[in-house]
Amino acid sequence: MARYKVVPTKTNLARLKRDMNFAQEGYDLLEQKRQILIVELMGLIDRTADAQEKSEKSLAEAFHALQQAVLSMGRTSVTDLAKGIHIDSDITINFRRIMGVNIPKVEVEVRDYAPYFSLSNTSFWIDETIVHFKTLLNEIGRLAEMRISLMRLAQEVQKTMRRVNALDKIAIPDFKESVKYIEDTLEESEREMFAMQKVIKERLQKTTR
Amino acid sequence: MGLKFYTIGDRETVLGFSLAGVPGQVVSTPEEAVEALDAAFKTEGLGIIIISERVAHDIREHVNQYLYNTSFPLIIEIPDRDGPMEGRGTVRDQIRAAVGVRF
Repeated sequence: MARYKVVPTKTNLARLKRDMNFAQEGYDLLEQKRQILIVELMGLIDRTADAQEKSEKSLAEAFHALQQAVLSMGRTSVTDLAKGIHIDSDITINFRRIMGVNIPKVEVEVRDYAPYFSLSNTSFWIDETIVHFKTLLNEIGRLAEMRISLMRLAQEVQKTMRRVNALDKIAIPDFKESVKYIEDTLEESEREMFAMQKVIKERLQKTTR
Repeated sequence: MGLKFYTIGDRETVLGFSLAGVPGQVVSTPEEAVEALDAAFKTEGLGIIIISERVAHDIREHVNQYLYNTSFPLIIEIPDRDGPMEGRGTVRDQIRAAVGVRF
């Protein structure tokens, strides 16, 4: 704890008290912000965990289908086929703000211009793979949205907590100590003044008598 | 015209997504990964970069730099065909590590 370097006067006392109130208000607001952010974060964590689990399962299925396709047709043919695929995916990202944090909102639109290869000589697994990876794009879009939001919210929580702590543990105690110092000093000098006045009064009475 | 996907990862991941019409770059070393990521961030019109978890893990610092400092495009890490990396932890753990608080 450190006291601010101030001359103990009534003006400085008033100013310090005003600043202290300001810091206190800031602390209250930031604390509120932190709580709101944490509530948001908590809800999002659960939803993200669910989405992640789901998409990881789909991903595992997709990789399984791909492996089967590669096994039955050979890697070269699959790679060649991929060149002919005509699927277009469009992502739209909008940002909204929660407590000053930019939260993305992702929309994925997948357009499929099938057919793009002959059905003969291609494995059933190829179609499976395509369907799997196509659906994955939507899931990944949603997951990306949530993960990024989560990360940014978490970062903001951290920042807010640092500020809350700085006010709570450093700024406000410092103000309190400085205010106390000035108040004590002023009181002390008032007492001195009072005592001095008494002495003067007594002396005056003595001389007049 | 909306924004596009892009994949950076191992051979399987890139091949898989290419079957859904997503272009990508196969990388096998961290140097290649860094190069591919830098290039992807310079490419216009990308909305989401899909990156293999293992690849991202090897260049963690580099990925985080983009993740925390640029708002665009979004980066999403996904497991490769061998499944999620061991010791990756849950979403909750990751957030706890990032924020440093318990929920």
